[in-house]
Amino acid sequence: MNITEIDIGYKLPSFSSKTSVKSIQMGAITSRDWQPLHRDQIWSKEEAKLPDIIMNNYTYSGWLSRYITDWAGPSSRIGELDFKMITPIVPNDLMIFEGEISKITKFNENITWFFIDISVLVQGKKVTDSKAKVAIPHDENPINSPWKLRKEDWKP
Amino acid sequence: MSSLPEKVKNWIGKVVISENEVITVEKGLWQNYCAAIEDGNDLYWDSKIAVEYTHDLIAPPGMLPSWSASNEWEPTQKKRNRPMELHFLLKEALNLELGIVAGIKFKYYEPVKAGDKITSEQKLISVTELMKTKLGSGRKWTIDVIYTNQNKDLVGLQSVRMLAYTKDK
Repeated sequence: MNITEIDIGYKLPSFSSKTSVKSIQMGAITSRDWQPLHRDQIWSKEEAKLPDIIMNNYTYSGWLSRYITDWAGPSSRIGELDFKMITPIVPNDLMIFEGEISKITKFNENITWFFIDISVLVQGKKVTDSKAKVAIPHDENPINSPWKLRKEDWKP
Repeated sequence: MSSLPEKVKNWIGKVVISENEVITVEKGLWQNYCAAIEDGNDLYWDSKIAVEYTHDLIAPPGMLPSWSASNEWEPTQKKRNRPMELHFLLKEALNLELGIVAGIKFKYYEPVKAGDKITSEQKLISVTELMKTKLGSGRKWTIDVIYTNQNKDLVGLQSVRMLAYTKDK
């Protein structure tokens, strides 16, 4: 992929993953979120009146970040991530991630800012709406990595 | 006229909760999180590759708030805050039993690395009047969180939009 040839409207390859009780519990516990609605099925259904345990928001941000960097490569650097949870994600949901470039701006001679609109769909319905801003170097030369910028030069 | 209790009115625009270096960032902790989301990004796993791009392995940005969450149990038995304690204080002050996160915005600055100790400050930005929502009667509020490392470098900003409500009888 030549990043400099990508234009507004470019669609990222879609990605899918099926959740499970274990994956939602793992996401919550490993992100140090101890709330019962992310790990206790009986509490979630009987006390919170939810359909099941639900994915916690730090697992959401992990999946969204992963979708971006799987496409853009490890040298890409996310500056901003904004997401809205429309419907909770529960065990056995097949999540389908779709992304589209909505804006492109110059960072410097070797790096470009890409603005990406991301949707997560379950059974054809949008459950999460997200916008991300990611700095992507034009090549894999580590000298151009946005992670190596001085902190005063990184302005997300 | 606002129906907010004085205590809540006084919180608006102020840092209400600070979490100071509750845990030390560790590779094993963030790799467990990566396993949960099956994220094989070399910067989180492979030090040889990470050194080329970032000078060192880094923690996944999505995990930033986790570094301010206290352990569930500690031998000192000291009082621990809940994750996003200010949200729970608001629910209690406003008698709203249930709450959900409606949306979150992150800005990421200095990367988090093993050995870092993160401090966070939770600031109340706004609280709405009581309103009818699809879930019941409730209020929306926004909390901003500022994350810094042990060198006082800014590592991230988080803005959390929440809805708390009581189920209508």
